[in-house]
Amino acid sequence: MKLLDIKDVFFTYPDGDSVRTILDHVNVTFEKGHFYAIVGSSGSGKTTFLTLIAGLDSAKEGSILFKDKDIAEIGLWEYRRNHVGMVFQSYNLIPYMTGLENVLVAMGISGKLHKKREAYELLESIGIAKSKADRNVRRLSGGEQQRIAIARAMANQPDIIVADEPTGNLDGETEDTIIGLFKQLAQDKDKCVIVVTHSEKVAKHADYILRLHATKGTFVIEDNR
Amino acid sequence: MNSLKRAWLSVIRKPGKNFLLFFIVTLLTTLMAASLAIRIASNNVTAEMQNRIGLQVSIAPERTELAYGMVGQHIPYSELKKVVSYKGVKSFNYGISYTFQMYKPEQRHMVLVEGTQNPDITHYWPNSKVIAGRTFTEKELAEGAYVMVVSKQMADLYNVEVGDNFPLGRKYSMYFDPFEEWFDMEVIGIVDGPEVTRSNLFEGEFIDYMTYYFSETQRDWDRFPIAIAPNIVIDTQIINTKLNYRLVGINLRQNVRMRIPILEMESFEAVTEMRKLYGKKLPMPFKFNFADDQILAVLGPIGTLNMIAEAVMVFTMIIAVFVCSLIILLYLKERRHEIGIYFALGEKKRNIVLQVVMEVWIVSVLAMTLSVFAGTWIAKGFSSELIRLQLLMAEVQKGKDDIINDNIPSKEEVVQAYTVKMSNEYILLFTGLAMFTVTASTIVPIVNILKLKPKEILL
Repeated sequence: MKLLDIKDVFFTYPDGDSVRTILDHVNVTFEKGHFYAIVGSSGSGKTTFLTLIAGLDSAKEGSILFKDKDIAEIGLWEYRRNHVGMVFQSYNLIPYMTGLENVLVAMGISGKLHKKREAYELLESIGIAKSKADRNVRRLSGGEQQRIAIARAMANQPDIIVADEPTGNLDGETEDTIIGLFKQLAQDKDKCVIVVTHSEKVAKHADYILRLHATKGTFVIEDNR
Repeated sequence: MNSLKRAWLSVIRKPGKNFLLFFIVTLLTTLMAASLAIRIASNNVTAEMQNRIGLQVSIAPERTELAYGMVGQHIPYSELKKVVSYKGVKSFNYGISYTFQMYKPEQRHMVLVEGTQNPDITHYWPNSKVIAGRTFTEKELAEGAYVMVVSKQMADLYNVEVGDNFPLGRKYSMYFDPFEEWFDMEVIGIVDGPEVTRSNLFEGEFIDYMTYYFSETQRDWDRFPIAIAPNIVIDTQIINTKLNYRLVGINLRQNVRMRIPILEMESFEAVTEMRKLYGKKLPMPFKFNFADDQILAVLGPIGTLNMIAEAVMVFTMIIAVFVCSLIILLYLKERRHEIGIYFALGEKKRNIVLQVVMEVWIVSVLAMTLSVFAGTWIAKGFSSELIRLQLLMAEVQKGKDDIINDNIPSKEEVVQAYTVKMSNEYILLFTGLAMFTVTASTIVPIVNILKLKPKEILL
């Protein structure tokens, strides 16, 4: 089922006196229940593309349709609050809070879930036990912090989960676990998971690989299923 | 978890980082509290002193003129009428301590005459009420009708009823040129409330030729209060001043005092206005004696302290806004990631602003609780010594011989009245000012936050 439709998206950055084209009239469609990996060389525009589909920035031209409605019309803040969950390379957890509180913050902002019990269940579902959920996040391992970040991304019950290099700071074993979690979210929870990565290992597990050409500013899509 | 809970967690989980803000807010708000406490105490003492003196303006002859024998002059009634018709004049009174003799000479009671323009008897006899008849009509007051309102004690003593005509007189027996005057007054009302005062002034300060006469028979005198319409007093003054002319140098003060019109003003603004309008228009040798002149003389040092306190307070508020803004800016710079996360999660900007303001408020309320006590303590120690020193240095001038001067408080009374205390007014004002200051100090940091872009912070 078509969830996110990227239509003719064009994006440039100022580069000294000139303008550098990052995305040149890109057209891509993302569907529910699939795991997408966006790969490409550094500076190719992967993260820029991610910020656009996450609603953190707006395209210069073109439109991004969520369930056939332009996210600009929905409103970027509203879109982020209710339809997208974000996971970052450096976790970006609030450092003076526990894992549970980090999830509760996101729940409170979206307003969809409120109760501690629901937060514990969510954390439990991604492998964080209550004892760890109640610890300050600085006292958790990188893998555990990233699980909490994923739980937080799930807190607003989004249709789309976007992740920017989510395994970049993790060891090999933990990387596998996190990849497994993303696959699980796509397959079992019917989410649309879009991960930006340098890692071919991560890309290998994706249903689709979107390779971004740095010079052309366009995607080549590989069906990896 | 809402923004308020987040604010609370932020404060209690990072006490070290909040300490700098707490310390600075405590320091600056203590200064504010001390200044405010001094200001309130100064204002209170000023108000108390003003109340003590009252909003009075008197019209008195210059002391120097009296000494040269010009006491025979009195302010013409036409001139006085111009002055008292000014809208800022609440009431006026001519007859302070004006003594008349009753009709029954053998008893020789005296009456304390209040020549008045005010039909409200409680104005000069607080807590009294008319128990028979009525008070003056506007017409009677304007025309100076020969009517009077008498105290119940006097009515009982002389068996007077409303509607009776009662002769009121004054009789002087001098070594030479005896003098006597009588007025046939109609009693229009009887009042319960005004106190009869007993005086033996003839044995004491009031020694003159009249004393000689009265002291032959009786030394203690009951003074029965009565009120009369004002023009009668003016009439009698003309005669009286002739008498005074002969008494110059013997008991100038007491006699002059009898014919000083005292004007009760509506407000200090009215006093100021009157000073502008009529200040220099009275015929010689009469001059206004303004109560606020006297207040200023006594309260000058208090005013100086008040000004210093105000300057310190304003300066502190400006510094507090500046310093606290910088601290909050630094504090939020460290938390850019956290704010970026809120943005990424789609948190409303107003909730982020609310969280920051609440955090600052929580820290500030703790700091202000400490400051309100510290400020009072500092203000007490600092200001009482300063005020004592300043009052010792100040010389209060009491140049004019006037009833207003009699009410001027001494330096000791001013010091005694000056008390710094933790009143509700102080706490409320301080809380309002301090909260305004710390809230103002969040404006620049908040504007800075709202300019942040989540993409630039997080990715």
